[in-house]
Amino acid sequence: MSAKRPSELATCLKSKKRALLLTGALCNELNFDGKSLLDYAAEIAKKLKLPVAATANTAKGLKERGVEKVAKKYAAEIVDFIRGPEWKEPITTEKPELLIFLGYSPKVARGLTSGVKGAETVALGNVYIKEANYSLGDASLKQYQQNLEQLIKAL
Amino acid sequence: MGDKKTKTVLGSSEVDITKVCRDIRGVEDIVLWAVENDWMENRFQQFDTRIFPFTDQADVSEWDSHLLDRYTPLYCNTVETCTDCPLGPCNLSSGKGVCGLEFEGYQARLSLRKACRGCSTQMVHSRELLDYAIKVFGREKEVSWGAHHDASDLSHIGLFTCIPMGGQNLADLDRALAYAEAQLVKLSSASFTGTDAIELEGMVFHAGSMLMIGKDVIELIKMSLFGLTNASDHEVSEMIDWPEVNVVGGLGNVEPGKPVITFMGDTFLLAYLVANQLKEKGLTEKVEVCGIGPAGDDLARFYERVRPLAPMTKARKILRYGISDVLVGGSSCMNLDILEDTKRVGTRVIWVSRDKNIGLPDRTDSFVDDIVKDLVAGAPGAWIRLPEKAAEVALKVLQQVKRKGDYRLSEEKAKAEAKKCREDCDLCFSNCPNSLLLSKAVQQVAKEGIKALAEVEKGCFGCGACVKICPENIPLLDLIVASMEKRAPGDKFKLRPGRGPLPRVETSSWAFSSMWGNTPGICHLLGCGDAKHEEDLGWIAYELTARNFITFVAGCAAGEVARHFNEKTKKYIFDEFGAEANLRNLINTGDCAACVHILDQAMKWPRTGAGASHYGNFAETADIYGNLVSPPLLVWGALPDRMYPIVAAWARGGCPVVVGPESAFDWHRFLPGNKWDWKRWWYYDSWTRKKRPVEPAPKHMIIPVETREEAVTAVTIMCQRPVAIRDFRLIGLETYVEFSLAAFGEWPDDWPLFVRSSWELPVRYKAKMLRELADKHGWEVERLNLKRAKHPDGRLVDMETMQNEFSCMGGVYPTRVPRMFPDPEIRNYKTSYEIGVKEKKS
Repeated sequence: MSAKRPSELATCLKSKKRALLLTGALCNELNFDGKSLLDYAAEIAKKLKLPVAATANTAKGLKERGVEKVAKKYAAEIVDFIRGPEWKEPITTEKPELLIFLGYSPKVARGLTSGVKGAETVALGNVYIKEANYSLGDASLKQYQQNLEQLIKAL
Repeated sequence: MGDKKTKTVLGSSEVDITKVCRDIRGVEDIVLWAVENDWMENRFQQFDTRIFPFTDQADVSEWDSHLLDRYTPLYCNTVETCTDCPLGPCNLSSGKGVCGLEFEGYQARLSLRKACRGCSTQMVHSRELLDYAIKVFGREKEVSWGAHHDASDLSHIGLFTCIPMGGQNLADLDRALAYAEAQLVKLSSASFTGTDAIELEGMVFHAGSMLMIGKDVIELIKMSLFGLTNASDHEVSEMIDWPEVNVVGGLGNVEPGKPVITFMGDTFLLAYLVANQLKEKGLTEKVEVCGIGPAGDDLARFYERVRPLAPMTKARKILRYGISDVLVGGSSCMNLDILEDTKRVGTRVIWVSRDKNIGLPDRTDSFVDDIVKDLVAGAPGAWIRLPEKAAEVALKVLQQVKRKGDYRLSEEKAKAEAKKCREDCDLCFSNCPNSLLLSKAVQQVAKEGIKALAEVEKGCFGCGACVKICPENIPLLDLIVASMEKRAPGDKFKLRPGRGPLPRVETSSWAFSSMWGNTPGICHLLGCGDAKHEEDLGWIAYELTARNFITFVAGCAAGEVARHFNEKTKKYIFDEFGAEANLRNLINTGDCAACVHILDQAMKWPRTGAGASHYGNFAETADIYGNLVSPPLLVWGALPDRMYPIVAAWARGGCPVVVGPESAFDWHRFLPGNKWDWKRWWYYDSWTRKKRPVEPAPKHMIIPVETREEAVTAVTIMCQRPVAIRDFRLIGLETYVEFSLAAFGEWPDDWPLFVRSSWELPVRYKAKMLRELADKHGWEVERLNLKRAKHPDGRLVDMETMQNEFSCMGGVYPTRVPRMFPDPEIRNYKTSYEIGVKEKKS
């Protein structure tokens, strides 16, 4: 898969009915001139009305930002549940068809997306993740911020 | 068979060892020894106990396959194309390969290769020291685990070879290590020819077990022949503060102006020889002896003036910092371009490994004075394969070499370099394995100076990925190293040296305190150096130990834990907690090899609690141990290949493993358990021989986490076992909830899965839990008690039915291996339980 422009990814995200957003440790660490990656995660979740599997320590912050359907999860558990024959994880009633990864370092994102079987994956980081079905391209932090802004605008 | 004795008497029973061992030829003596010295008659009468001397992986597959059935391997960072043979390449994503290999099988092959690589790095070191010991002391030289160890104490040597615990000599160790080496060759071969994923993953477990034999061997030699600390030679009553917290480490504790010699990696022998010479010559006060990685941990066990500096993962930064006049290096768990860094700072390298060179001239046969002369004159280093000669050279060079020059960037140069940083680039951030915000910090250096890098420096491994990618060729690693100068004076910690093994007499003493609800659990901590947040390991150790965990630590993790300083009590962590194997104690067993003591002592439980002898009897030992205790292992930080089989050894014993943070996701294979899938969670009730559902415990066998808060929370719930008794479960659940609330602001989603009765609910949260069980999960509650429970099959059942049908309350003896059913038809003994069951039926 080649890197996608934010607007292309927005179309992809909107087209999926059963998507699950996963928010990782970097959401609490990356700041763009006063706006954190967690803020962007909250905006994406709200715009698409997505359930959020808040991994690492992101659950508290997302709730504080008004995200409604958020629950603390472990990233590797979600990847494991997806491959199972029956989806019983209570965060969504149906098995997600798309997992959206935001806030994972490239190493973590590669590890997680490469392990997913039975759903498509989107990596919303500043590094292109070839193991994901869809990914933003390589970008500086400033470009990355612009990508996120464009993505949210297009949702 | 000849005239060799094959029968013996056990109490009133006769044991024919040809019936308990598949092929007795050549191992009659050790099998007879195990039966006569460690078997218990009751156990023999009730169970089909067997002995597998010099076990093959296939001998243990009945247990391995159970683990892999419940915890299905999850492969990440997968490779689709196999290039293992000339008939390939075969793309496995679209079907089988030429040899029938499937995608999963190939991933398992890669997993096994990683395990074999990691195992080899230990075996080489063990073999080197064993060969040296045999040469110096002779094959008949006795070795000992210590005065308090007896036949019933477990070692991986006994567990897999059946070689007796008592009366061992170097020839026995040679026999054990040769077996492990031969197994490793088989496993390496299978990693290119095997096709069955589950079988191959079983072999990964086996590689871990063989690695542990290598560690047993090296620890026995070090303690028996080189005087390293051995707790088994001391009274249990001493252990609360033994060994004393008398080693100070960190750059801030290295006295300026003194010559500095640093030992790095698996260089125990050289460290021992040099330290002894320093003692003999009265030079201990005049020279600073430092250690990086396992060398520092080993030195602490016999030379209290050692200054452990850093784990292997951060070795490169220490080398480039330029504190050492002489570096003694050898093979280790990590590969580094040592000369690249030492040449820059003038450190002379004595390379001592016998298995590989790092580009230095082989001076093994040169005269000592000639080598010294060349090194003092400026030669970067020498490869010397004779330990005594290398030690002599190292000491002489240390006393003569004078290094000159500034090794680190000045403030002005650093600022000038930082000014080159492009505003809109961030490639260093994108390529940093720890995702450190280096670009932002470097841009700050241009304004504020080198101190702006302080936080980034602490989390940097010194891998240099940033240097390679920087389009402006900024020497980023030099900037980071320059910033260490600000932190170095305050880089101090206090370490309790490793204690070595734990005899059964000591571990038995805390059986009651741990079982009766005074602790949420036991935790083993390992790691090859901290992660991007240098304080993580210390924080984790403190949080767990302060919560009454029994915390064990070994290897480079011990040095990282030692940095934890409590501002309230003004104490370093090893001063704050006791050191005996008991609640709220922090026990350091020693260097990386000494981690084997943690697993050895833990796996003694089947002997202590169930009378099962471990000799050549892994499956039965693991079945009992995994179901009863098997404390979790937490592995933190950067993870070289050696950690892969170490983790496999723990997992094979039924100990769940939590790995983290970033580096863990680089791993190829995890063993998660799906807690929502009730089909996976069962045991045989060994009395009725029927399957019964149990709660998902332990939830996972190998699982990665992202943060330290996730780590302690996961560890806590993974202490739970279906056979654990009420009070232990109660405090564990309470701690799980509280860790979760503190870190994530919410209750864990799976706590109801671990509820079996009202009595196991923590008092503090009981009312809330009962309400939630009733409102959200359909249980029936009456006042402060559960009246009817939701069985995993969906039925609402009364509590007696729940107890009779679910989990392991009320004396159920669980097993996953049908061979472990007690067999009253064959044996002549019936338990009161069996008699009772039959009477009830009639």
